[in-house]
Amino acid sequence: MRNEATRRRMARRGTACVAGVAAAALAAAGCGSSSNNSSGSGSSGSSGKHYTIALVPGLTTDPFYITMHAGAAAEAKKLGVTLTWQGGTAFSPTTQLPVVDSLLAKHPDALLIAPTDVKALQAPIQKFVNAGIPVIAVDTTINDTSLLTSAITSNNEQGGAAAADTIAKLAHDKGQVAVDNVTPGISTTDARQAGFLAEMKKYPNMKVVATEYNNDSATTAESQVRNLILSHPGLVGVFGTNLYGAQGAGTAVDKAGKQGKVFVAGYDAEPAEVSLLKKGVINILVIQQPAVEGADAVLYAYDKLTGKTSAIPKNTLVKNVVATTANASDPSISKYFYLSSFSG
Amino acid sequence: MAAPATDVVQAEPPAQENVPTFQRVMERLGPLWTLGVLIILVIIFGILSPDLYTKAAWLSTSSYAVEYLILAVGQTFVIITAGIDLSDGAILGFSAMAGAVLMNNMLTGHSSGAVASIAGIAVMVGTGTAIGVLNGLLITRIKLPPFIVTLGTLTAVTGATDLLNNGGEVTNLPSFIANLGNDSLLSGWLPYPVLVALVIALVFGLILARTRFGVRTYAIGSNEAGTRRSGIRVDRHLVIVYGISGFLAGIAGLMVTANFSSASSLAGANDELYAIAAVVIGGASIFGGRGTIFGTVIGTAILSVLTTGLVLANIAPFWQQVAIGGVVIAAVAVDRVRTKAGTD
Amino acid sequence: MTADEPAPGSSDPAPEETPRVEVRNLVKRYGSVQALRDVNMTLRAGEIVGLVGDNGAGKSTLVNIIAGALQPTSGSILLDGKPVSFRSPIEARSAGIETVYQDLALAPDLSIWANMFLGREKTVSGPLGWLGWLDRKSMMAETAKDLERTRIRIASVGSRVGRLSGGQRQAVAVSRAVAWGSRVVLMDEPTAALGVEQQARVGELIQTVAGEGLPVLLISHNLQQVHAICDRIVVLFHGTTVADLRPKDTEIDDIVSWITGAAIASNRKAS
Repeated sequence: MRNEATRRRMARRGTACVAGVAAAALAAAGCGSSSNNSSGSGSSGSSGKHYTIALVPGLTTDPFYITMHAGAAAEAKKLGVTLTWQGGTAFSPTTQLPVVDSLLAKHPDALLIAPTDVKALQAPIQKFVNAGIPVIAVDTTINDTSLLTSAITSNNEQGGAAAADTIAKLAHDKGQVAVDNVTPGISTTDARQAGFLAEMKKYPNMKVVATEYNNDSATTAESQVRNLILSHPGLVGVFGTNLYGAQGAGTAVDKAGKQGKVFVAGYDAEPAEVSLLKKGVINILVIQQPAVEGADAVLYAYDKLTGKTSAIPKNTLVKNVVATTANASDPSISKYFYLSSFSG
Repeated sequence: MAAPATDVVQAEPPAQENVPTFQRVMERLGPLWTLGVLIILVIIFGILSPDLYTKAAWLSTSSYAVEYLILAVGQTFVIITAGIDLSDGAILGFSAMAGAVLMNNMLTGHSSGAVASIAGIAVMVGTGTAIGVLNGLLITRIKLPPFIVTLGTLTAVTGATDLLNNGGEVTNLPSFIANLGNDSLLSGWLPYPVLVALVIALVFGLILARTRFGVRTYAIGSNEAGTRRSGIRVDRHLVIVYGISGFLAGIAGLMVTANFSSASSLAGANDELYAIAAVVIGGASIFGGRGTIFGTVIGTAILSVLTTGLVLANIAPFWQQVAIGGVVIAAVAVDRVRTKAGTD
Repeated sequence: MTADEPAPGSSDPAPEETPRVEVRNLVKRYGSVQALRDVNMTLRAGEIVGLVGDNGAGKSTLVNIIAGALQPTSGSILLDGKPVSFRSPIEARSAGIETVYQDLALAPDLSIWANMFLGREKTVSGPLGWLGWLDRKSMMAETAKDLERTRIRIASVGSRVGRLSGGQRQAVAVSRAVAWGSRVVLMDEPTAALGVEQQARVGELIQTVAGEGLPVLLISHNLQQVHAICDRIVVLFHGTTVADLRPKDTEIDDIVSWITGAAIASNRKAS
C-alpha cells in the first residue's frame, strides 16, 4: 500500500490544488485528468474474448503508480486484453470521482482502482458492481471490502522487518537503532514501525532506543537524528518510514560525519530517494512492487472474467524488495526503482 | 486644589487600580524576561542531559533554527503592524522549488554551475518577494483582513508548488548550493546557513529598531488611523512589509534547499505556525505595536532548545508536543500580563 | 441672520492687521443635507476663539474644512489674507495649520518623541541617513524642549505614550501641534475625556500657546472653560454663525441661549 504519509501529502496537494484553481487561477494547467490507452492485441469490446480493463491510479503523475501502470500493461499484453489508464493529477477523491463516474458510462469489463478515500469511492464502486463489472483494489482500499473481487497491497510489516534485517546485517547484528516515523495513527507507517520493532527483538545485541515523529518535515527529522546520534553514541541504524524521515536521517548522519557508522533505511524508490541511495546518504531502501500489484490485478481480473474465480485470492500482500547502496547499480535491483514516466 | 502652574508630573500609574508588583516587574524587564526563560531552559535540559553543552548539540539546534528564524524575522515586521502572514511557509516551498527547477533545467542544458546558481537564487528571492508584495497589495487595495488574504495565498501557492515539478523532488543542483548547506566557518562552529540567519536577524533588527521605516512600522500597528493622518503612506508601507516577509521566505527556501541539496514540495509546510509562535514568545503582541527582533531570536532559540533538549533527554514524543504547546501558551499569557501593566 | 449684523455682545473689530484666518460665506452641502449654510469668522494672531454649538450645528464640519479634510461647496478661506484651498490634511499642514483631534491620533506603543516626530522623523546626516537611520538624540532633545513649553513636565520623553495619564497625553498632542503648527492650531474637544484638574491644565496650556502669538480655534462643549479662557466665542446654529461674543460681556446662560436658538428668536423680536 502506498505510504500513507505520502498519500496525505498528495491529498493536501489535491485539496490545495483544487482550491488553488478557485482562489488564484494559477493552477489552470495541471488539475485536470490525463488518460491514455494501452492496448494489447485485440480491440475493445464487451463480447467475445477481448476484454477491456480500466486502471485508475491514485494519481497519474506519481512514479509509484506509473510503475504500476507499466506492470499492468505488460500483463495485459501477455493476456491479450486492452488496458486503459485514467486518473486525476492529484491524490484526491475530488479529482478521482469524475474519472470513475465517466468510466462507468464506457462500461469496461473490469475496474482496477487505487481508491483515494475509503468512504468516498464506495458508492461509485458499488455502481460498478451493480452493473456487473468486477472491481479490484490496488495499493489502497475501501471500507466495505465485500464489494471487491480482490484487494492487493504491499506488506508493510514485512517491509519494516526487512529494514531491520538489513540494518542488522550492515551493523553486524550489534548496536542501537531508532525509528523516525511520520505521525502516529497512519496505518501504513505504523505497520512498518511495528514490523521493524518486532524483527529487532530477534537480535539480542541490538536495542531500539527511540521512536520519534517528524510530521513529514525533513528538517525536524534531521534535528531529531542529529540529537539521537549525540545522545546515543552506540547508534548504528535509523529507519525512516517515509521519504522525509529517511532524507532527514541521512542528512543528519552526513553532517555528524557518521557515514558508514550509522546506517539509514528508507521506504520507496522514487527518483529522489534513489539518488540519495546512490550517493550513500541513504544506505537501504525498502521498495514496494507496484508493477507486481498492477500485473496481479490484471491477471485476477482476467481470471474473474474467464470464470476462473477459484484461482483468485481475496487478499494479496506483496513482498518488498530491499536495495542497498552497494547493489543499487545492479540491474536486478535497479529494475525495481519506480519509473518517472511510461508511455504505452 | 491650588496646584502650581509648573508641575513635575511623573509618568503616573494607570488610573484606578494598584498595579501588582509582578506586573510592574514584567513591564520593566521587557523582552529580557524571555532571555531569562531561555537560560533556565538551557540549565534544566543541561541537567537532564549534559550532551546539551556540546558542539554537536549547538550545531543541531542552530541548524534546525535557521529556516524558522529567517521566517520569524519577516513575521515580526508583519505582526508589529497588527497583521499576520500565514503564507510564508508556502512561499518558502514554492520559491525553493521554482529556483530548483530552473537550476536543474539549466544544468541539464549545460549551463555552468555558477550561472545556474545565480539564476536559481535570483528566482527564489524574486518569486518570494513577488508573492509577498501580492499579499500586501491584496490586503491594502481590496481591504481584506491579512488573515484571510494570506490564508488564500497559502492555499493557492501550495497547489502551485506541485505544478512546478509534478510534485516530485529536484535533486540535480549546482555544487555551490550543496556547499552552501554543508560548509562552515570557525572550524565548524558556524555553518553558512546559521551565519546567514544571524546576519539577517542583525540587519533587520537594526532596521526595525533604528530607522524611520522601523518606527513607522510600529506606528501603523499602534494606531493605523492616526498614522495615516500624519501623512505617512500606510498602504505603501504595508506592501513593503509583506514584501519583506516574502523576500525572507525566499531566502529561507534557499537555505532549506542548500541543507538537503534538494527541493521538495513539502518544504516549509506549516513553518509559519512555528515562526508566529517564536515571534509571540519573543514578546510581540498580536494586536500590533510591540515586539523586537531580539525577542524573536530568543523565541526561536527557546523553541529550538526545547526541540533538541527533549530528544536528548529521551522524553517521549507526546510530551514533546505538549511541552512546546505549553511554552507558547505560557508566553502569550505572560505577555498579556506584561502589556496590561504598561497601558492605561 | 449673518455676522454682518452686529451680534449682541461683540465689540468693535480689532485693529487693521490682517486676520490670520478668515472664513467667508462658507457653505457645505452633502446632497440635500446642508451642513453649513453661511459661516463667517475670523481668527487673529494670539487669539483664542471658542467655537460652540449644539450637536449637528456644524462645528466638526467647519474644522475639518479648515484642516483640509473636507472641501467646501462654496465660500472661501483666507490664510493671512490670501485665499487657500486644501485638497488634503497634508496640504493644510504644510501651510501651517495643525489640528489636535478628539482621539489625539497618538500611537500608544510609541515613545513621546516618536509621536512628536511621527511622519516628520529626523535622520542623521550622511549615507546612513539616506537609509533612514534616525537621529534619536536630536529628536529627544527637541521633544524635551517642546514639552517644557507646555509647563506640564513629563519625566522622560522616552516613555510610552500609553503609560501617560489623559492630561499628559493631551499635552503631548497639543505640544505636537504647536511645535509643527506655524500659523494656526485647531483643537477639537481637547478636554472631553479629562478630569477637572486636567482640564484646567490643558486650558493653561492653550493660553501659553496663544500667548506666544499662535491663534487657537477651540471647539468645546465645556462652556465654563470656553468662557474662562477664550477671547471670543463664535456660536454655530444650524450651520450658520449666529453670534460672535466677548466672554467678559456675556454670561454663560446667554451663550446657551444662542446655542439653542432662543436668543435668535428673542433678538428678532427685539429688532
